[in-house]
Amino acid sequence: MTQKRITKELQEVLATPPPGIKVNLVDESNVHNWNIIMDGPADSPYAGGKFQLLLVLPPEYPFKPPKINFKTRIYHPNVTFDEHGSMCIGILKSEAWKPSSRIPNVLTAIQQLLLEPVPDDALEQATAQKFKEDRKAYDKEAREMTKKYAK
Amino acid sequence: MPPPNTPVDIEPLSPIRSSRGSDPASIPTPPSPAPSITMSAQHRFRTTEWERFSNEPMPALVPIGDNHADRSRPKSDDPVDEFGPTETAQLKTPFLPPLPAAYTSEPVFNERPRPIESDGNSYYNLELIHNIDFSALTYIGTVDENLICSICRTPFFNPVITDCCHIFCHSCLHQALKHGSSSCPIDRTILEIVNEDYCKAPTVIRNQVDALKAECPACSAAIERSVLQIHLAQHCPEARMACPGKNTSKGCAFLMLRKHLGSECMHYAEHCPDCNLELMAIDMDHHRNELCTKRIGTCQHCGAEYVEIHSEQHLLACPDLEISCKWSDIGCDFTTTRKTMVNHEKSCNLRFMGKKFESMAKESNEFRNEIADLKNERNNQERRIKALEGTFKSIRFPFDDISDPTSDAFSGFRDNTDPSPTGFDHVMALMDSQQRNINKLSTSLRELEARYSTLLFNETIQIRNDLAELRSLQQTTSMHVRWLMQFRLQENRRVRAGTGLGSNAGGSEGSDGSPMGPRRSSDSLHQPPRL
Repeated sequence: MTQKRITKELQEVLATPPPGIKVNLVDESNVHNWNIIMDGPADSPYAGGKFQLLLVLPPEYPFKPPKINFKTRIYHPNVTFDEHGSMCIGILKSEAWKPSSRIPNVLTAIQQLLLEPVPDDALEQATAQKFKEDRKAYDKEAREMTKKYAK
Repeated sequence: MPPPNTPVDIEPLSPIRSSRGSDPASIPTPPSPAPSITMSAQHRFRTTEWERFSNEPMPALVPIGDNHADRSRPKSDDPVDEFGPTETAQLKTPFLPPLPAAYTSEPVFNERPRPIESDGNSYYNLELIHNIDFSALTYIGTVDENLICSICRTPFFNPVITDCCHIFCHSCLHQALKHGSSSCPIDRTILEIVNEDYCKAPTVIRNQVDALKAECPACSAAIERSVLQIHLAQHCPEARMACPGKNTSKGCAFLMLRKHLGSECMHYAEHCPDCNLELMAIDMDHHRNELCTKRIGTCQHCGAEYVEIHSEQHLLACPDLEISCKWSDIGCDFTTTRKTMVNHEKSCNLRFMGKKFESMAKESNEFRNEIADLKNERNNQERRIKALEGTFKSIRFPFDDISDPTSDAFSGFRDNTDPSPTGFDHVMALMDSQQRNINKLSTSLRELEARYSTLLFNETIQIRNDLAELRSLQQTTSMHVRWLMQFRLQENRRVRAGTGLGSNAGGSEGSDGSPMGPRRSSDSLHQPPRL
């Protein structure tokens, strides 16, 4: 069932991708690893950037949440600023995940996270601090990092 | 995994070479379930086994044409129409197309035998049990979103309804509760399998999903989902069924497609009359029509001989085949053989029109392509224009906070999509507005200056008046003080004269050499003030 549901979702996402998102498979023979290119949302300091994400669907999907990592470095309180790009987002936490959630929901939630960081749930404390105390400096830094990494 | 159509766990039944032409069922063998094998069959069985392991044909008994080195079973992705199943494989097991993807497992025999007949033989049900994964079916048309399980994203199968009134497939909900927390996959209401917090969905839901039409995984016909299994077991021509030989003394254990069903078991060896290849009778038609390269056919029109499987190609070129004029689509209904058609084409009344028509069709095709290209281009341009507009609008003007006339100067400019021709205008407008602004500023500055100087003047006049008044007051006070001092001095002098000289009370004031003299040097008056 996992395979079928994933194939179905993939077909849906390929047919009608959410705005600003491109999806393709890392390896055509494996539907569990998706390569996602997400445009930085306009009205955010990430605008103009193209962020690559790796979405891994576990064998227990949809009963276990998928794992998503930023492959492109991003300056964001809720994403680690390293080669892993781990992310902290409510919808993907295993206690919050619902089998009825779907990949487009997850992707739009990530876009929302880029628009509105959640500094109280941060992985990068320094970034969160800056976001809370000096929004302008944070925006500037994020813009620079976007220019540097997400081109 | 064993090849899908190899009957597993069933004693290999060998096709019987020597019995070609005779009814295989007539061979005196004890009935199933343990059919013994006749001598020749035994040999055949040994031969196949020999070939399987030695990769070489067993000498002597192997027929001509059966000397292929490759004894392996065809891989499922071998293109069937090119090579088909290899001949040896056909011999071992009849060819069956790969199982459709929607099957969860190979169909199995319906092991409930029919009642034993009067002749003492038991009869098997030839219908198989087909296990279909309903979530892998292709449904006809779009299915109502309300009938789709939110877990597997396919129409409900065996739907159940929870206490919180959400409907899922039974297996989906069961898995969800097993994997995660015991809560509803939609709203997280606590659900327990043991408490039976869910029950069968209402019949109306079940009826709706059962009435959905899906493509039969074997024959692609649109079949109502509820009768799909019956269709596969009893009617579908492309579905597998048991060989009727299963009910004979031969006890044939092969499966076959329903469309190949004859009156009796066709699973016996036969030689192709053309290439002498040995294969199963059930595959013979397919072999002769699609694969055999030695079957020669004769054209009924021109009498030419050709390999039967290339008959279609021959018909495309046969000189004696009757064909219609090439201008038939614009009205010529003349038909003749291909070789005489050349003459007709030279004299056909429609040949000029036809040529014109052809060139026009070509032209219109070209135009159509061009239009499509232009449309594409226009779309691209539109997209580009939109993108440019977007970026242009997003540029923030640094002068936005300047007073009204300036922004008026910009507003006309911003609506313009192409910035280059109005660039100069833009700068000029900017300069103008700046000039105007400067003028305005200097005027207001001048006004301010005047106002402040008046204000200052008014203020200072008052201060000057006050000052003059104060000065006069001070003068009066000092006059008083001087008078009082003078008066005091005279008083003192009078007292001294009274005590020291006595008579000299009216003495001259000018001869006074008192030490106080220098202290009064500032006094302008040495006489008592006349008040």
